[in-house]
Amino acid sequence: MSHPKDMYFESVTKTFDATVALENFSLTVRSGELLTLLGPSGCGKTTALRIAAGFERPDTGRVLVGAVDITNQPPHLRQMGMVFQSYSLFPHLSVIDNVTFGLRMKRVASQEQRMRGLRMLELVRMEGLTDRLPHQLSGGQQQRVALARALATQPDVLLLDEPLSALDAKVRAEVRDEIRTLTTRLGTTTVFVTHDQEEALGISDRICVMNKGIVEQVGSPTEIYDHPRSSFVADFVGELNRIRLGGVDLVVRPEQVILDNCHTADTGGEIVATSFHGSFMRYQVRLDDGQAVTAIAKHTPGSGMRAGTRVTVKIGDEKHERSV
Amino acid sequence: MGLVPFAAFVGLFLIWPAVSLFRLAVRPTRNSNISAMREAVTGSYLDSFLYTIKLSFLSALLGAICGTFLTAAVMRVERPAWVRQAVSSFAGVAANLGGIPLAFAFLAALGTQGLVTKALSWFGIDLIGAGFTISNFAGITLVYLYFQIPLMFLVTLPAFEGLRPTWREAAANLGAGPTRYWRHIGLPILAPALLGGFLLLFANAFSAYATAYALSSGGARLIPVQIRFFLQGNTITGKDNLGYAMAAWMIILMIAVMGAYLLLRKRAEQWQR
Amino acid sequence: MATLTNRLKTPLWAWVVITLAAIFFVLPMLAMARFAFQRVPVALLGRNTLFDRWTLDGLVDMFRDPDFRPALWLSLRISVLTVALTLLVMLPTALWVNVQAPRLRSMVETATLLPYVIPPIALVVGAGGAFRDLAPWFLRSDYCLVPFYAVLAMPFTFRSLDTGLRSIDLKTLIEASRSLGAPPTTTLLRVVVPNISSALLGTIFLTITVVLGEFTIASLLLKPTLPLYMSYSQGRNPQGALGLAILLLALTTLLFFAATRLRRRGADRKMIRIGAMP
Repeated sequence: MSHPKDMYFESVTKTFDATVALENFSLTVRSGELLTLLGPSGCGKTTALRIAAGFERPDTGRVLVGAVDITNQPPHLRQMGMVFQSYSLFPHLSVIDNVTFGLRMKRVASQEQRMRGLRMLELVRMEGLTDRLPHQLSGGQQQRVALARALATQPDVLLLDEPLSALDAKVRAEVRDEIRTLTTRLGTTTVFVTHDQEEALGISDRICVMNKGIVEQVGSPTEIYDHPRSSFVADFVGELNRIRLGGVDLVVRPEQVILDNCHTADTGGEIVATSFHGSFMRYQVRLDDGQAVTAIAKHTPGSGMRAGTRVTVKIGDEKHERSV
Repeated sequence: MGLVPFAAFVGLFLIWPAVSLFRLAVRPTRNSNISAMREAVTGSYLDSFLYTIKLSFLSALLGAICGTFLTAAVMRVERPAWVRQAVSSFAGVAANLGGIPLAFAFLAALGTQGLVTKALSWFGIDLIGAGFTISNFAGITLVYLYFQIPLMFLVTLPAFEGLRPTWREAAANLGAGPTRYWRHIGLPILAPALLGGFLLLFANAFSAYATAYALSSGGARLIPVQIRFFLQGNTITGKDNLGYAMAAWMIILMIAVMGAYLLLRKRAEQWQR
Repeated sequence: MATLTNRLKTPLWAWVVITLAAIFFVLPMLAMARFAFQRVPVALLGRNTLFDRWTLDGLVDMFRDPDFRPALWLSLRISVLTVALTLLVMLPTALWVNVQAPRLRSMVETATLLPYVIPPIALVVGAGGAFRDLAPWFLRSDYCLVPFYAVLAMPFTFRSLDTGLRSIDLKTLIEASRSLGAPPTTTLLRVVVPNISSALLGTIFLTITVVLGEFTIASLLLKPTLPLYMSYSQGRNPQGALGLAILLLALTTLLFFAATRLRRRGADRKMIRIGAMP
């Protein structure tokens, strides 16, 4: 097993034609953690990942694994495992041959290749389909094989480039949990790229929120959600209401908005639309002064309110009020 | 139900003539005691078949190799965007070119009075003296390359375009540099398309009539021209059975070659999903 | 998310290959053009005579030839009829396969490739044998070429129509039109046809290029079409014949360009499959 090492991006800048993809990007990925690069498309997260893999060269700055500068190392000499969005399995090779391909390239003895390949397939619960060809697998199965393939060579860092975005919702959750379990179990340092904030919050040890090639905030999922350091982060991670109550500008999460159907001195409004999500209920409320607010309330039997109901609106947790 | 007009059309103007061909080929005749199907593959007729197969094989092989390199080269050109477009469009025309115009063009370039022949003689290269003429084996092969290379290009371009960048990147991640990528991933994935292209080129050369006919002297030994020799217009040569038999053998060969081509194409398509 | 791909520099070998190919493919055309339009024997060609005596006389003589016009008209009439027959047979087939029986598509597509299995020389010989006894009048007519040309064009025409039809959501279009109360003919003419107009035009162009280039069948059935006339007049007026060859080539190229342009506009790129027949 290779020694766990941290990976560093040091002031990496990358420009494509006139567009700046990354600007003075610095980040430490701690060994063994799962770090997510989160941001809208074009924010530079994929570029950062591709620079780590060696597919792009930074204009300036360095990439290091441990003490080794890998900035100018060609991709096939780096110890990186990568899982792509979709269709990256070699179509002419069976599942087991795909998984052992990296070991073959490293000239591991063929007996051991097969053994390690089968072990990886067991870990992703694909041991029954070793001799299938990729086109005979479902999307979720393909991504599990791709994961096994990337991990089979025991890479320094596992790079995941939106590996779930081509899957449908239920499979997505399954594969996501699998990635989490597997990387924790193997202690693999992992960089996960996604534009889906829910995915990021669910899977990560730490999240790096990016925008326009710049790091907006790095922190644990709860830190990012509860203490967004910029309005961009607050907006991008989770849902947000921006309202003005009693002369104060407020930024509040929908779950902090409390609706009450008995009248008090607080702000009044009317529910204009509701949607039921099983464990919770979403309300669209129009305040009397015309502002729109979204509220989320935990669902308990008999707790639902209908559209048209008059309500008063209160803001729950005071410490999240901040003017922006 | 909706396929009745199509089936009737194909049946009447394609299948029925082909079936008649076989019927006529195996029909007994008075002036010969061995069947025409047998006779068509013996003696000098067998030589004609072998000559045609040799020529088709060589022109298909050279066409496939040159065509593949052309495709690979065009795939690497991104900057003037019109290059790929222009080559594709030209290939579409050239692949279907043949017959009289093509023979004319090569006669004007490489005939005894050809422009290129003359230009080469300025540099002291005597093409004719070296035994090259446009209507011998080498000459016909060269002329055929004019439509074989573009055909190969057209067949392999989608295959090259179907090579996903992620395969190259995944291979690199797993420790395969450019050479090992092509050996283990690129070429094996392209193999069905390349082999299929070769087969298509072989069939294409074997059945080419117009070009062979226009290059008269050397083309005369080729099977398609031989068939015409036995079945000229409506005249009876007395050996028309032999002509039918040759055409029948030709179809048998085409069924084998095109069948293999279709199988390979199916495999290649499956991988693309 | 869109990935920014590496801009790889085109390597030198690629340019070498493309240049060599360009020379191989352009030189014969240039030589042909020179022979057709310049009245200087190759032996006398040199730096001083390179621009001497360029003329269209050969071509003009050919246009004056009494046999030229009938050949041209015959080829044009056969083109029109072949286009009509192709649309009559292939359009309903392509529609049927796309709407009613998608499972039969691969079977029909394979059937349209049969002309590769039964090459023109075998087809014409077999057709001669088949029709001579049963319908000799058929082979005597110049128009007997029409169905065979439609057959030869089939691999191109079916593919072109099928690609056009697949790029639109035909089933939904038809269902929408019907649910709005349009009778089948109206649906076909006012909903389907306008949506595949570029594929239709492409099909027509491709059919014409097949007709204008076909030599084998016309030659064996002794029908005086344009390509056949070109071959015969080679002895009498070689310059005119080569000039005509160039004209036909230019026309074919133009039609082909137009057809591929249209196809590209009308079709989803993903539809173009590996190993596509030209």
